[in-house]
Amino acid sequence: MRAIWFVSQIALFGLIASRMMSIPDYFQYYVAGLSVMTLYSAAIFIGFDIYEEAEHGVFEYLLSLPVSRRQLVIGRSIGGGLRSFIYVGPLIAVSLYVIGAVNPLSFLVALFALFLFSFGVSGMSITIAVLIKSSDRFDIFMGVLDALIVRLSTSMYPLAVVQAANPLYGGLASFNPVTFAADLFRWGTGIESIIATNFNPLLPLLGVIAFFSLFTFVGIIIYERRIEGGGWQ
Amino acid sequence: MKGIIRMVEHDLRNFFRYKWWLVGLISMNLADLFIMAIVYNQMLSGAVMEEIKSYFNFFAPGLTVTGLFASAFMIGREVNMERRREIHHYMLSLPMTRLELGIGRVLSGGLRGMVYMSPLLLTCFAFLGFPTVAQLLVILVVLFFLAIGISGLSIAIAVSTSSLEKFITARGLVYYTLFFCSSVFYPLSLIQDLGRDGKFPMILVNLAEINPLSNGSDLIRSFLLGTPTFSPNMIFSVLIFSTIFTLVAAFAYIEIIERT
Amino acid sequence: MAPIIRIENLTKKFGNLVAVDHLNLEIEEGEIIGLLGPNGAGKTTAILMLATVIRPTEGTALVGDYDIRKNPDKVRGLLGIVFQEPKMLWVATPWDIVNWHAKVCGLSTQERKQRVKEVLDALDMWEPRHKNVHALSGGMRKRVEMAKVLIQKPKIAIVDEPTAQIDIVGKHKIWNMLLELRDEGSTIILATNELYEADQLSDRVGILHRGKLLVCDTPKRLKDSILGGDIVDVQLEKDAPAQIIEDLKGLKEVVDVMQVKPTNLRLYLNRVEEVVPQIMNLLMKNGVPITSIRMSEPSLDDVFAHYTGLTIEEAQKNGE
Repeated sequence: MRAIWFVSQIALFGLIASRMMSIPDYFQYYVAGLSVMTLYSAAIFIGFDIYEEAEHGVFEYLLSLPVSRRQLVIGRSIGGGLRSFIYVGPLIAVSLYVIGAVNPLSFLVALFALFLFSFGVSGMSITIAVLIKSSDRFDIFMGVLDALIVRLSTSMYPLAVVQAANPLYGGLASFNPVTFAADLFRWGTGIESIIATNFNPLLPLLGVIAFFSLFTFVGIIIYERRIEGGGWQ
Repeated sequence: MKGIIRMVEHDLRNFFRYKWWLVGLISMNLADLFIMAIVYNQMLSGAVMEEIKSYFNFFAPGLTVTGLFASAFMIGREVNMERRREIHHYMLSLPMTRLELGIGRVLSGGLRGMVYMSPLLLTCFAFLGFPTVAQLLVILVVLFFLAIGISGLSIAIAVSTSSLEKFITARGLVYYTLFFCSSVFYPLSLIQDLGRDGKFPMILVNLAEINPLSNGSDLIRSFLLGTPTFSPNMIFSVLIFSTIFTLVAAFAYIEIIERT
Repeated sequence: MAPIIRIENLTKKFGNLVAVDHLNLEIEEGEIIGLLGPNGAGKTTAILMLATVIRPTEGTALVGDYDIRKNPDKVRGLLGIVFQEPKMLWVATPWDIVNWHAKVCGLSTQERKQRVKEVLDALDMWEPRHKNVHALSGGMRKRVEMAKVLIQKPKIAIVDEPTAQIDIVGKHKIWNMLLELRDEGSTIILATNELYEADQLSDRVGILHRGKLLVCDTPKRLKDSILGGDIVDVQLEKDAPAQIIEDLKGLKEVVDVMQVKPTNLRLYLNRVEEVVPQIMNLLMKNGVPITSIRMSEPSLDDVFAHYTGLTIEEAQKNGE
């Protein structure tokens, strides 16, 4: 379903919508953002898996294994991120084909950032899942978050446009990890120059690293505290 | 008749049990209108701006129709799940006729769409102005027929695919093609221009023109914004679509779920 | 009185597999008839045909006076069915499920409210009535499935493994409620692979194997149909004389006598309740003191094995 959504976004929405925009090459801009949106939605799924496992008793089995809690959460976070990356990989390849030119070195940096981004998103999903503890409330929270985090980012439109539309939106978008990942991906594929002539990749890169670090390490602490003694129930 | 009422009651109640899905959809719809549409307003080309004046105003009716579409389409997922888990055996064992069962399912799917869509339509009126009574009646009737047609389409897909994978694929293809190949997000003229320039398959251009989502959105726009110009074809297109898929779905549902 | 259900050559084929093979059966009004057989014997398929959920390949059945092929709507008006696997969406609640079922079956508001409370309470499902189905255990879901029919009180109740996944206390409750349902006038078709359940509840038991109905009779007559199926073990104070063994063999209904030990005799016979007094009299008349006497009857498993050559467990293992 996600693959069909992705292809229809490129072949239908992206193609038609770019016709109505004043930004040249909006199609390429949108396709790059779409890849990051898809990666986000795939990486977030690990949180839903946690509830599924809790319901079926698999979680108890994992807790009984000769593996430290720290290893468990890092493993889940990396596993979730890696899984989403592998799943979305072919879709990213399609978007690269559509976008065209790629600078190899900057692309590698961008890819590294996307790795960290997907691990960070998985870590965030796990942290929220463990904090909320109710699958219904988690589903609702993630639905709302999903709606806001993608639209309040530069995945679909440049930051300058968001700021012009509403300064509050612009402010929120500036600190959004989806913004960091989308901008870096565009820089890596050489199309950031469409929008900004003096784009500095260092800031978004630091942003992604900070996001990853926060939700991996803080997530570990919260996870460890919450799941001991049946706290996950 | 009683059987139909009971089925509607059953499906409407279950609709509100999918809280997480509803909240997700509402969030996405509101975010589309109050974030995406506002930002897109800043990015439109001069020619498009000339045509639609404001993307927010243009998009609001489209959003109403997408909300109706998504919520009416959901019944198919339930019907497919019932079939896979053999819950339809229980439905078939109930003291009601097969016709009541089939019509009840199609009708309840449509009513779910209408219920979900209502606040979006009110939002539309709040920002774009209220229609006349006659216009309101036409809008509601057309949207109702659109909703049951979509429900019927969804049910027809659900009962005609045997495995989960085939169902997801078929559902996705139909859903996203109808969704994006319409005037919900952009004026029909853009799609037609792309077709004329050879950058878009003409078959999809034709699909967008007859798409009931296009006609539903454009009907509301014609009443509230004055553009595009109202045409009776907007109504006929929806009625034809609805008639075909309501009948197809009702009979397909009865025929196929009894078949083992 | 005419039977309430007449099944005539009812057959269901799934490709080359014959799930139900020319079933012929008459069910009397007000009786509990057990359909006993391992998984895959055809019980559920037969039930689904009677409930007009699936169409027969051949044959038909008359339920009340209605043909399942010609008047399926009217047939469904007489029936209530408890499915083997509970049929419910995971987002629904027991309260919603049973209330809606009662409405569809035409109960008045007052009747519905009263019965829903009574039945859910009796099945210990009143407290969790507003929980989502996905939060319930398998046994709880089965109770909800059972509750639908107990609230409905149909003319004909079809119950498919009514106590599967339910604890022993729950089982007894449900058995009592089924007996009450029968006493209130319902005819009950009970499909089960639990021998004790079939034995205790059923007025008659039909044994199904590979889609065929092999035999149908009261549990007692079925057990008695096994020649020498009853066993009596007699422990004597001293060694049994040879003449005594011959005299015991001469008794009517005694099929065989074995001297397990010099002081221990095992008799294979029919109608144990009639023959035991004769055995006692014979031994006392001949001055042979008895230390103890133990009797056992064949089970329905023995009956199943007698007719099929396999125990129910073996039949299930073979994937019958």
